[in-house]
Amino acid sequence: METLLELQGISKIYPGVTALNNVDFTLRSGEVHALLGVNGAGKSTLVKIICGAQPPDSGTIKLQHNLLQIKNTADAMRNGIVVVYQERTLIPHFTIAENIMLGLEPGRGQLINRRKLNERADQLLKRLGVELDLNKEVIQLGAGQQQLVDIVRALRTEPKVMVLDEPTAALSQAETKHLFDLLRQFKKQGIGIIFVSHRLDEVFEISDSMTILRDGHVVSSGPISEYTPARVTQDIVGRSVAKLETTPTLNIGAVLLETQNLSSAEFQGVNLKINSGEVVGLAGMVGAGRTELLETLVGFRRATSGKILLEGKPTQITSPENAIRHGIVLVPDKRIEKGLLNRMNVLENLTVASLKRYSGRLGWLQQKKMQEAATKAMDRLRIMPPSLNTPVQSLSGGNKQKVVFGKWLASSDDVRGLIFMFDEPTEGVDVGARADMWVIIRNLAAQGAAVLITSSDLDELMAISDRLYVMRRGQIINEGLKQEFTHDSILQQMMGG
Amino acid sequence: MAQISNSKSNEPRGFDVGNFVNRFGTVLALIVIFVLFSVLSSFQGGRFLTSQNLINILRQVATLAIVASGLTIAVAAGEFDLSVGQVASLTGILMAGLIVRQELPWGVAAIGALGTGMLAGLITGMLVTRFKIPSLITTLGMGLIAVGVNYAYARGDSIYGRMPEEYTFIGTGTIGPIPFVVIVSAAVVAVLYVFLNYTRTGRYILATGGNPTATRLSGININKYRLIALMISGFCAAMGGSILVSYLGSAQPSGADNYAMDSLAAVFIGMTTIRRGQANILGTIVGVLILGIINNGLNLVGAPFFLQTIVKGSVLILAVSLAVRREEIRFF
Repeated sequence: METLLELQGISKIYPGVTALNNVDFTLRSGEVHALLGVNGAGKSTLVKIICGAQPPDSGTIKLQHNLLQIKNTADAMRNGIVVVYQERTLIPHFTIAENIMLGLEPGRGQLINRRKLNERADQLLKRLGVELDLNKEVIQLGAGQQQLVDIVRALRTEPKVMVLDEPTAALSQAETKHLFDLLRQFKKQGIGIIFVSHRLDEVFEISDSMTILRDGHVVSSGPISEYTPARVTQDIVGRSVAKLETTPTLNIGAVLLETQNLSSAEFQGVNLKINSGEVVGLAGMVGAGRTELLETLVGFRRATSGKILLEGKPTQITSPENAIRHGIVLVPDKRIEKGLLNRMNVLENLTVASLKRYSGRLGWLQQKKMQEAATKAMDRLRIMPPSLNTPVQSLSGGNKQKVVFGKWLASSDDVRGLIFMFDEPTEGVDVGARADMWVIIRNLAAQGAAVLITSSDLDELMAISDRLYVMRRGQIINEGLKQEFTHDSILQQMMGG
Repeated sequence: MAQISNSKSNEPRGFDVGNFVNRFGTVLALIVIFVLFSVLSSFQGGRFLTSQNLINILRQVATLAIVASGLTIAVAAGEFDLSVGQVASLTGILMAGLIVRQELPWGVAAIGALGTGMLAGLITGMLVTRFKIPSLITTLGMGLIAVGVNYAYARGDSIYGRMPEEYTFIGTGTIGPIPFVVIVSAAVVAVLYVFLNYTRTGRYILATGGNPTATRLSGININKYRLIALMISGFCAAMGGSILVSYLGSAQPSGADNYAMDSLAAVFIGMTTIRRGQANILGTIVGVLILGIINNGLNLVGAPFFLQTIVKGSVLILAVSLAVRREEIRFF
């Protein structure tokens, strides 16, 4: 495998922070090279430089030993470097074919040759074994399918280098498997793939080599055989992360939340119980109805039948505001979309859910109290922006997640009797912060709250739950103590095999 | 090799009533309103459903159709143009003034008027793309500037006088039973339709409006297409204003100001149908017709004037709120 892309001495400085410091990076053709690091370590910046969205302040980029001057994204594309981003980069009301061929539509001058456009798109789709109706508007597709269209699109210029930024974040297990099959195909064609991800199991499954960044410089780099998950974690975080010891359950108290035969369009006949002092895990595939169930429990959606009982009393939860007053809190998935006030800064975001605690007479907000609470949350969660006034938009993805977390943790000192629900609590969060969050979640239970968490990460569920429910196609099909399950048995039940 | 399929693509292609109503609901509404007025008017002499009145309706909406179609292009690119009304009034005054006061040949006057519209669009476009000022604000300002220039030129007078026959024919002439202005309007709308849907530039304008980030990352110069879209909008506003003067035989200082609100209403109503969620020419025409029929119909049945604006406003709100509910359009 020969050298394909070579970055030497790349540095990039933004006002106040050195994003990249003398970074070397080599990609060989036909390999999958994983790029890992804490959020804020410099991965996104490196990707932006490779694809031409940002120029480096110093250093060189060579493609197949030729020095490249990349001024913008069009330059990068012309040189055969494509990026598949996390956020959707499709035109919503254009068809699949139109999106795939955007910017490269066949035709003479102003007239676009529709037939050729559809033909070419069809060729690409078929080559990758994707069966999608190319006349469908992409807005009608699910997240995984849109991702697929993104990838087909990346192929259209016969790229040499493909960068995938957290590609599996929105994909189901089946879709991830399909993606990896495609990547292996690409490898055979000699394409070099840079795979940015947090998911260690996936990284170990598909990568040939990896590079780990921390604080803007390369900590280590080499073939996958030189790494173990423990070493990777250590390199990423800079300290050894002790394996989480699950505390034995001591104080399981009364039933705080119970549902009886709860049903809606997305789930049927759900019976579950959550006691104070315990963490209950909810396992299920994408589409099983977990998120919808949690959103119903917090009043964001309405159930069509069944009952919700709080401390034994049937209660109508009519809205999230209503739910919060009853002591039910949801930290949602896709936190960046659903949980942040994008035009405000860190202080405002951290305190917005608990303003009552900082208001004195006549509703006047006491700045000092707000700053104290916000700083406390930042320390607890190790949120790392330069200051409380940093606009939340400019934080790294993982730090944004922590802010949403922090918003709800700041809302009460005494959590006894409260019900916390977490949907994919550590999605998009780096290894170091993950362990911190697990400890915080367990502590909530230890202090007397009831916690319900749902996650696609079975290791996570097994690590922090006391009891588990398994959900499939809208129904709870099994429940039991954590010890009664294994990773594989849960998976099997989730998938219905 | 594993295959991912969209399960829906294998469903039998029956007639999906739900989808049909969604897509053409607004057109159905147009038909319902039409029938409603036919019936109402029949109780008062039945003047609505006459061929003369129907042709009148077309004549009355012809210039609005031109302005609204130009605005559609701007909205398709993701921009607002609130200045179309005042620019139309300005160019109307210029057209009339250049002919009547400066005694220029009407062709030269036309170039002056249309050029002014394009210039307004060009300046707006520059401010939006170079200085990153949102078009909502920029065009609000440009509209006021246009009013200022208007008054600077004509001091608030209306302008009338002898105008060459070739020019007045555009607004008042007929070819057979069909008013020439309707033919001109239809031609302009057709050209814009083909432009937006079948040319590369039109496609890139739609892409820019649909997802500017994705479009830019595809190597397309989104600022260039925003600029083009805003210039087209200005140009069509000027065309509408100039033809209106031919139709009326005179220019009022604020004669076409209400084109702004009406055009925007037509474009938003249009986004609920034909190509839902995207600004589209055919949808805009449906919107224009709805507004025109309401105006004409309410007039004929003798409804008080204020009812017209109330009904128009309600129709706009209703159409858009239904579309937002179905999550076809998202604003901000």
